[in-house]
Amino acid sequence: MKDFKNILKWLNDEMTNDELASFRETDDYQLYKNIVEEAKDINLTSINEDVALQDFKARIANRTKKKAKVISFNRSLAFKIAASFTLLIGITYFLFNFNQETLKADFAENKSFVLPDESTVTLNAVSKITFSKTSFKKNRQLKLDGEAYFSVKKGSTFNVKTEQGNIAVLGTKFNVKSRENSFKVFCYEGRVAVSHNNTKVILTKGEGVKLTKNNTLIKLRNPETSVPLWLNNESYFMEEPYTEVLAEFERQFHVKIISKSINTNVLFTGGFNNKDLDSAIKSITLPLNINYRIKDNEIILSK
Amino acid sequence: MNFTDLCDEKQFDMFYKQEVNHVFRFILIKNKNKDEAFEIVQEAFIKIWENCNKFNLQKAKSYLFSIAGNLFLNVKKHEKVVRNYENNSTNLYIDTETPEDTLRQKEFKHKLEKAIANLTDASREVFLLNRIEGKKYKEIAELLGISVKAVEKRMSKALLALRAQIEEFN
Repeated sequence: MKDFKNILKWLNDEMTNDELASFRETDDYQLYKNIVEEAKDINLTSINEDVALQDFKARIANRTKKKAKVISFNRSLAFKIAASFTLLIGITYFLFNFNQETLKADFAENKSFVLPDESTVTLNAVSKITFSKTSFKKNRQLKLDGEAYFSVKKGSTFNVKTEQGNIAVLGTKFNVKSRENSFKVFCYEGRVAVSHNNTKVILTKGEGVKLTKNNTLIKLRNPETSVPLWLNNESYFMEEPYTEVLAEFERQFHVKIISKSINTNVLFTGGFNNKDLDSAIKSITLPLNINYRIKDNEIILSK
Repeated sequence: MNFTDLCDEKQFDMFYKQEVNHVFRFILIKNKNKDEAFEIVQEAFIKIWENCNKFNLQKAKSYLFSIAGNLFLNVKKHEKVVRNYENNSTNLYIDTETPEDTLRQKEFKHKLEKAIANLTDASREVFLLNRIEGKKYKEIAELLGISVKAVEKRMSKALLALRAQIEEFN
């Protein structure tokens, strides 16, 4: 693709007067001047604010529905203590079983590990990997349950096995999410081979796949970040089932969400911060007009 | 935290008037149907109003867009737009037309509109938010929950595609 740096700068009003003056001399400017200027007043409908507001008030008046009362809360400290406690248990709870090494992250935590071959892995909350301590260096193969970001050292094939599919790479960076209702792989660097049943898909930088309900792999939009968002303590969902959003929330905050009385069969786009329960619960309930109530370690959702 | 502002009717009205066209066009850019877009906008504002005690003005703005975006998503997926309130006012929509355009300008505009319609959804959204709404890349990134880099990428794609289609015209 052509270099758009200057044009992008121009359209974002970032140019200094001098830069602008010399940019105006270029062919690019001549080409795009008309397009961007005419685009400005393309016939996009506006609405009359006063009429719309009147309509809005009429709707409000028509609504006899009573507002449910929401109990406000501030328990984040309690959850923080609970989370650190879990962390403590998590650390002391390394399972050394025969030759198998298990590395895991518990509720409300991320953890990074260096593997015997010097590849690194970061586990998202409630995730684990298992591999053979003695043979890993020779045969790079591990099992993953949950979500993890791998940065693989160049060398022989590195295999990740999950319930839903297998991933094979040489040296690269990629993220795998393998949860009950969700299987997704994103490639951030190099090449990644994903196989599921009898299909095999090769991903290159910026590509991803997910498993659909009818068990086929489909390509995803670009991850558009250089590392998965969860490494920065953000959970983000793009048109994903609400049930998966709630499940991720439970893992990040170690709470139980009771969602019997709401419709969870909707899609959600948006995200939440993995460290701030108070704002996180708002981020996933308010956009869908859901009320919440906190009781001990339970969050009860209602319409 | 200050939760009181939005529950005050006068303040809310101001907030409404200030944001209604922005969020309307935000949805319109995703979907051409005015009536559907207007329904979504009103629903989103109702949700803000009903939850006025939960956030301050600053947060309300981002929730408004996020609520509207999610409503759009779910309305679109289930293809059931319920017109639950009949709007019988005829002067709700304002279509702007610049009468002093020359024939050639009109032709060009028409061509451009077609070219914009042919863009991918992702590129069109970013391009129009920047051109019509005058939003900076950073604001668009926040609005759509993507990175600034991604916005720039989509913008470049839009520019490239528009140029290809418009060049024939000149």
